[in-house]
Amino acid sequence: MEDKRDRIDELIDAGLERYAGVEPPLGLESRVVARLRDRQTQPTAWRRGFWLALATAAALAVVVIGLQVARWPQPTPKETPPERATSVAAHAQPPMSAPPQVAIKVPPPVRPRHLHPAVVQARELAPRQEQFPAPAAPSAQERLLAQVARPPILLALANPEPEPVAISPVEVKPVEIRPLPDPTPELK
Amino acid sequence: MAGQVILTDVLARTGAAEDELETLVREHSRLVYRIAYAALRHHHDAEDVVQEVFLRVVRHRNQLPGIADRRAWLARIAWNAASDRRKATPKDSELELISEPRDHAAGAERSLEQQQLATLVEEMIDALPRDLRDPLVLSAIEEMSGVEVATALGIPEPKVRARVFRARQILRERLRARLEVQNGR
Repeated sequence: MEDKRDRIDELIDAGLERYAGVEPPLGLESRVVARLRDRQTQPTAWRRGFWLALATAAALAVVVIGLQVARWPQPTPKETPPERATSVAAHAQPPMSAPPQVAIKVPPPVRPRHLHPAVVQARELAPRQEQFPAPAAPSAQERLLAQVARPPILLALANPEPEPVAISPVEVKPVEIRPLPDPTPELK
Repeated sequence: MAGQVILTDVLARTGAAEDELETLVREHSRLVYRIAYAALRHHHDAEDVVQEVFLRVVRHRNQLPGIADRRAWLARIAWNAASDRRKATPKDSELELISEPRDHAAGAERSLEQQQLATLVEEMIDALPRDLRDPLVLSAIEEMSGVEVATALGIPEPKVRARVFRARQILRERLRARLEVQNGR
């Protein structure tokens, strides 16, 4: 009875040996290690996706910035305010009681964002304020400076509205054509 | 200077982690393979599971320092990976099992008889309910302790012992009945 029991247990163990007693194939460890190393050196999927997304975003940003820069108007040179231009005269002369001149301020160019093409074209055709500013009347100090210096241009500045000059009609004399003297009297 | 120190530290840590991982593979790949084979009964599938297990380890290597029993942890990962694969693949490994040559030293007749009996026992083991078969097969792996089997299966150790006892009892009864029928002929 005991022998039979042992025999049965042996059979069970032999059957279980087929499940659990197998040896791994040769080179399994090396293959696993090689694959792990290979995996560690390769970038993972999320890393690849991240770099791809970053490159795409950078390219998109470059395109958008380029388009915006192309739409921007040309930068305007800074205009010196009139008070600053006449600072030399102000230091040289005592302050005058003339009313202060209001400087015409050119509004900074507004950057159009999305304008209708017709509006953009009209703006491009019209003379630009920053390039052709409206003439400002000279200040009192400028006029005084012009009186002192008296060059013609400053005189013109001092009297911005020239006095009307009486224009007399042009007298046109009748054209008189005299006959030419005979060049060869001896031949006659 | 500080950057160089940090870089050296990072490189040292990366190298140490790789060494640790390789040590883990060299120490435990046999166990992982046996667990996978016990579940799948197919060599190629078992090898794939070994690869999968260590790739999972790489993904979760941050947890490695906090794991006290790495063998049990690996056994659990291996068993889960093998179970996932067993669910995904149809069972077609019987031919490979039957064709495996065993015990070349024994005589041809005895070998044939033993093979037949071992195949019979295998069929009986396969016929066991899964909750009895899995603890029985895992506890047959010589490297695995009761605690490791319990960890791998996610059940308490006393339950493992009870199930193994019950599985063996069933096998004994069925085998005895079968042998009695054979001897009676």
